[in-house]
Amino acid sequence: MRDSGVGKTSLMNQYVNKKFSSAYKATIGADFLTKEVMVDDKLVTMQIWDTAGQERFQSLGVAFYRGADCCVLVYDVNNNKSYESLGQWHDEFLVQASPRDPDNFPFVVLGNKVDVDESKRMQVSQKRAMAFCQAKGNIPYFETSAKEAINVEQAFQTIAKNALQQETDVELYSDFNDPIRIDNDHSNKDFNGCAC
Amino acid sequence: MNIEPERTFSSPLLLAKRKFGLAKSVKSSTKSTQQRWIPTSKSTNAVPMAANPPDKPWQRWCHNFSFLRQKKTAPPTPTTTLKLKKKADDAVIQIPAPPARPLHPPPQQRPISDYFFNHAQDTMIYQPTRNARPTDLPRQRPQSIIIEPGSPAYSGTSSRSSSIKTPRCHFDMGALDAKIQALDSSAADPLLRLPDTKHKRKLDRPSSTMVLPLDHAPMALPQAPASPCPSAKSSRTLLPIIRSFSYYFTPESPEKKQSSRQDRRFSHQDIRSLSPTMSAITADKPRRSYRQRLSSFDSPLSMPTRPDHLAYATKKIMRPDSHWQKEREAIKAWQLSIYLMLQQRVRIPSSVPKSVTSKDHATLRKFIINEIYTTELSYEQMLLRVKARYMTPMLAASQAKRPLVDAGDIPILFTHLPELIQVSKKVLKSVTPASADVPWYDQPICNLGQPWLRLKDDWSVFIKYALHYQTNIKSIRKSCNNFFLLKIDQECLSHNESKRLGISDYLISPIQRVPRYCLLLKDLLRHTPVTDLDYPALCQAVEMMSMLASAMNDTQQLYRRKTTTV
Repeated sequence: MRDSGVGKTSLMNQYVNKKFSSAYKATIGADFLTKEVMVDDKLVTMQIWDTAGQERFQSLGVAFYRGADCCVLVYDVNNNKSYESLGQWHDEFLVQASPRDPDNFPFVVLGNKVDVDESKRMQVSQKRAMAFCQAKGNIPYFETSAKEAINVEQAFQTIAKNALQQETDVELYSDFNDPIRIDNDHSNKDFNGCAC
Repeated sequence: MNIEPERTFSSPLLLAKRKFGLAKSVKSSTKSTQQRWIPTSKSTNAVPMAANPPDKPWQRWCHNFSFLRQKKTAPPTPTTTLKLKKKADDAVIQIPAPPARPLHPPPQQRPISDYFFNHAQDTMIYQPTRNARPTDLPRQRPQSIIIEPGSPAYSGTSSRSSSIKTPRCHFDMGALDAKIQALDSSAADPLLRLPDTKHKRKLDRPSSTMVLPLDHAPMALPQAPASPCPSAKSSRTLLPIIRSFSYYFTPESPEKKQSSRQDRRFSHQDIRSLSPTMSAITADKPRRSYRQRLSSFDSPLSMPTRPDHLAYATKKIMRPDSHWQKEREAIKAWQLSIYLMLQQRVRIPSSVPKSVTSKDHATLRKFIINEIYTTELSYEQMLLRVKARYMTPMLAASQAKRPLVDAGDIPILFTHLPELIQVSKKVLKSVTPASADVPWYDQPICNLGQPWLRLKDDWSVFIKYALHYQTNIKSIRKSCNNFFLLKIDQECLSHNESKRLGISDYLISPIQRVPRYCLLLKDLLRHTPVTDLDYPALCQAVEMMSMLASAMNDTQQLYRRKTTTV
């Protein structure tokens, strides 16, 4: 119950398939979606992984977080609780994924469901979210809507860019690139560097 | 004794003096300054002081005491003693299996010089002499080997040679029996005779701990059946004999080569699982090199052409899980909770979401069932692909003469894979649409609840897997660095056919699959009308899957907490 329902799967689906299904979350079952993106004139295959229910079970995610190249934290702007647990997710990811360089590991925060009407909307103001991102080390922040496809493209572009940058820092041309995973709270993206 | 006779005798002066009968005095004088001479039981006869050994306690004490007083003046160390001592050493060396280091030496054999009488305090002092320890004897053989379950020797994964090879030779117990008896009766040396059945009880211990006395091996012989086809149970008691038989006669026996090879080949588990039929099957088959079959990446699929061998190897290698007890506990707990859950009556909610019409509900149910089917299909195919692309080649490679893969890596990576595939197939069977040609929205709605509940015993493999993954995470990561594996992995990652999934994706997929079942079934339940016949079963199925997920979660957390506290 923690942060499920913030729209991770929808976001992913919107980005990859350009579809939004309010009736049913298509692709619960899909482990991940892939999309090829051009980043700085390089073709990158991005693998976006969806935690799909694993966030309920703390230790089941462990396997999943490892090897991620970028972590996308999604919260629901209409749900204060989901915002408050962002920090917790952030720390937990770092603990479980144990990346080589925790301080510079790329995160992206997405505030989803900005399309909901003004009256109910914005329990979590943009200011607070920005403050959080500042505190955690300048994490890029986007307000998105999977339904209306607001900012989704830009957000994922940034994700790809950051992940690639991280990869460049480490070893761009290694033969075996770990998949990048975006968690939905953490979604994962992944690319395989072309093995030349 | 640290007398070092070689060095002393090598001096030409000494040699000359000894020739003329002077060595005695020279020897004793050289020794007197450096060393305390303490008569041991072996040399007692030769030492003048012990020539008439004291037989009463007080005499012994005085004897010792007088000896203590004497030690600084002139310790009697005649050359004859040295020779005798040396001879004794040689004699010991020649004995193939000496009762070298008795665990509890009989008290009367303890050298009397270990005890000293302290006159000042009127007490006895026990001061063991260094010489009483058989440090200068030839290297000791172990009295017994204790193999416990969980040790590498038990599971048979420690060395490749013994663990994977199928026993190919037929072992004739009757012939062995006769041979041992003949040897026994012909042995003039009492040491070569079969000892008493003192260790018999150890052999009869429960199989959790096997004690294999090495140097007293044939003692269990009377129990050995004379029939050429020992039953499975007797073969277990025979193992020590076979083992120690080869060991016992290794130094001189002409059968050395043969028996040692057998020794290597027959590991503990081999013998245990070696039924007469099995040995008969494997005995006649000629060796074949698997390497030849492994020339390219795709070829290892031909591996199962020898199902008996593969089945044997799979069965033998795939279960070295040392956490079996923890695993059993977790499964037991889970089964109990499932049982309790199934006992309860399903509470059927009175309210149904009314936002969607019943027609939509039906469509959505079909959609979800189709979703379950397709994802299960892709999941199963991934497992099958891993089996074909990773497990089989690696299994074959580990059996080659110069294995590219350590046999120990395979169980770590693939222990539960066959079982997972089985479960996946069963799930798939229950959701497969009746006719493949019709699109999903025209299919009749199939009931998922009952089939799902029928699988309740199979789900435990996920718990096993989760526990295995958590406990062996380091070994798994290490095994993933195998070159052969990386090569396969690279190939798989670059192929579209495998959807760019690698070994790391496979490793987490079973863990990911379970919460997904939860979500899908929950969704299905939400769109199932309360009046549906399948509803109660589906409720229980949902409950079961979420219990499964939390069971996996709990076992992992439990283990992690334990490791962190330790």
